Amino acid sequence: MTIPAPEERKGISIDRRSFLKDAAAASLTGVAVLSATEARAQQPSADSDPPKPAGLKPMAEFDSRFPVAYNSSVPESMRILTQYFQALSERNLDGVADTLHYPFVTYEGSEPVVVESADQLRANPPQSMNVTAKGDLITPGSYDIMEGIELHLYNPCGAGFSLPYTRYRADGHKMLGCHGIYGVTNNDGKWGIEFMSTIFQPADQLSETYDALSLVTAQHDHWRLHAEARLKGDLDEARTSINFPGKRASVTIGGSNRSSIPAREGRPMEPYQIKGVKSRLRVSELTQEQIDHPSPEAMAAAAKNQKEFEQYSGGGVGKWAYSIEIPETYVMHAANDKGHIYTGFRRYVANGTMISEARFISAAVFRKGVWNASEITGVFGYMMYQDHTNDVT
Amino acid sequence: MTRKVGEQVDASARQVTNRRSFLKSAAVAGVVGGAALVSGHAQNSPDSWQQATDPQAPSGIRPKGSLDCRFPMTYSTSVVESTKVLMRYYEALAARDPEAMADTLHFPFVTYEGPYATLVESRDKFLASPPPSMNVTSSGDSHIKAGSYDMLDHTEMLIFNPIGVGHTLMYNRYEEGGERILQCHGIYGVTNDDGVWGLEYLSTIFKPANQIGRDEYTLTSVDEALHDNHRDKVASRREADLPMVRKMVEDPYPHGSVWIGGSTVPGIEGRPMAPYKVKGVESRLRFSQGDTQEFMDKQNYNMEHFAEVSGAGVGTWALSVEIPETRTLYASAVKGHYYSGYYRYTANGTVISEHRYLGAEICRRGVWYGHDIATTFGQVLYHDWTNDGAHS
Repeated sequence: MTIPAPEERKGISIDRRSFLKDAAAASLTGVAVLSATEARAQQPSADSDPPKPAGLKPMAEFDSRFPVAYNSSVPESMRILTQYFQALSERNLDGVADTLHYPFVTYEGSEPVVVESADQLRANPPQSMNVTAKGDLITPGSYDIMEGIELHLYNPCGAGFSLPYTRYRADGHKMLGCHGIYGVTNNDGKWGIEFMSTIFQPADQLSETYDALSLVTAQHDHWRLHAEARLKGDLDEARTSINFPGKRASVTIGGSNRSSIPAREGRPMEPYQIKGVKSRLRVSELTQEQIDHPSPEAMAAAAKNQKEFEQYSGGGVGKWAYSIEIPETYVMHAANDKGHIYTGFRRYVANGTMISEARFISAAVFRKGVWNASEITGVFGYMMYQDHTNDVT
Repeated sequence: MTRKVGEQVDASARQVTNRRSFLKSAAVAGVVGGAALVSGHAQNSPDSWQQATDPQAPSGIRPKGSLDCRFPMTYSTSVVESTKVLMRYYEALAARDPEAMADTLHFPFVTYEGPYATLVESRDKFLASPPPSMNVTSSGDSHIKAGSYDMLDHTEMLIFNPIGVGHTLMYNRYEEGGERILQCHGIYGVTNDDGVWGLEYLSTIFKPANQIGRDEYTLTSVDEALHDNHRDKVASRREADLPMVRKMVEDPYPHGSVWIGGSTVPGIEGRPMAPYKVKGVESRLRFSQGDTQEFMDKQNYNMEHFAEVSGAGVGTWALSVEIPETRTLYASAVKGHYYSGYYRYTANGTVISEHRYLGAEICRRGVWYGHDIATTFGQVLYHDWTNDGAHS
């Protein structure tokens, strides 16, 4: 029988140091401190905000060590995603519509398409979702088979997946492959898809990798330039290294800058609020003129952002010195106009101690000879995977 | 009026049952495997889905055709339910809570601890003597340093049908100060036995932190072994070389597989849903303490009719080739986790069917063991061209 520690039975929050001390002591006697059953019992309902977990340190961000990051969000978002695929494969637009948040964004080729309502979806479905037999991607009589589902990101208010599928002609001939990335979020108690991007390729080109190398190289170049600009306080470079002309859309589920400031100010769960949240989608558009000649307001915002970055990015670990992409970075799939990337970054202090690790997935588009690959364009995330503040303070 | 997901799918569902023959086969499998199996199921929890009813045949299966993954019933419930079990298992592991871990397991289950297949027959045995990868008690062999904690890296759902789903799950383990000390990649086979979803197949590979990403040699070794074993087994089938088939299948060490269908034979016989029974199924595990020569000499692997039944409703089987999606998911020096499968073809190149599975490729005394039978979770019949009508 599992016996929870007295602190847990009383529902009293305890800090991580004492938790681990108790855990170590308890493990010697074969008694677990925090039972999984009790942790589940403490799960919030779908429409309530996730509580601050025991063990979250002062100044620290919520990270993936806490079960509330995955124990409900992963099954719930998986349920939505399989429902979406089933509806798509049944050519059931109503069923598709039921699985989406409004507005949501879908990257159709290299352009983000924002759909504001279910009525708009039914009246004018994006190509990848057009099951009405009037679109270009779905041949009447064709059918789809799911390849699999990979979970890349998760936290209490969202989860990021990839789901490839194959489309067959009625006689069984393989026609197309689709690689999709999907961001599923909990807004005000309802789980739904808020971000997606699809890459379709002919069946005989499914394993080609022509564009993957140039994309991952571009991604790294932008990272390097941006990290260097941050270090030098070069506002121009910090801006231009991650901004590209055109429309872009991302869905923010906390993590990194979005959660660093609230965490340092004692509000670590603020980025993960659910109740009352209508949308997590951010859509913006920039022109080359705005990038080359920013307004005074834009420069003031950049200066404020840089100041906050210097103040907060070190967390409770130390002074931020540099950031590097996570070694797990890879191109999941790429075509000549768009790629799907899994990446993130680790922040370090000068002596090499890691501060934190954040992860995200993104749709990087290729426009006018440039890969628009950065941490703010076409992103679903971030997930704060590990905040070392929780270990060292 | 709007149409809900799945609304049209079951409208003309028909039932095909032959429970007697299935259960007989399952029992035989257990006896042949040589293990005395004591059954037990994962514990029902408040949000656990109960479905002790057999899946019904969907409309659209052609004569001689089998259930394949085009039918939403292969994933609409199973994927979510198995994900719940997987998350519950991981959460219990991370909480170092053996009772909660036990709640997610079927008994018996098999776990590959490094290269060693371990059969755990009962909950009591699990709690008294947990395998090292699952030992959270801090006594006995374990991979858990006191005070360490785990963080989920990612999961991948790779094979699915109404009664079983194959996932991978990778996590990182950190010591108390936050330094990563281990990475664990696991294969988890989750099944619905008599209405309860639980883990029945596990395999884990642990790597020290400073060895993560250094896979160039081990991945190549496993890739080559996987291909070689597949090539030689197919060649022996094509040449009707029964001794060679036996040699390729034989595994003299303890090994276990969990079977969730995948054969085209019941479909040909007009019983396409026979492999997908749930009600009354106590175990899908086939465990052997090691194949003996005497045992192997008795096996004929349906050699006489293989080409005929493997052609399903399309034609006569002539060739199998691995699916191009075959890949080694993770590898150590003595074991690899792989995702593989095969296409079957007639002599003129027409595709008959596509099958997929997960497995552990294991090196013992310089020999790599692992193919589509002995150490797998699967198979899933991904695509049966019989259902496409052009051939039936």
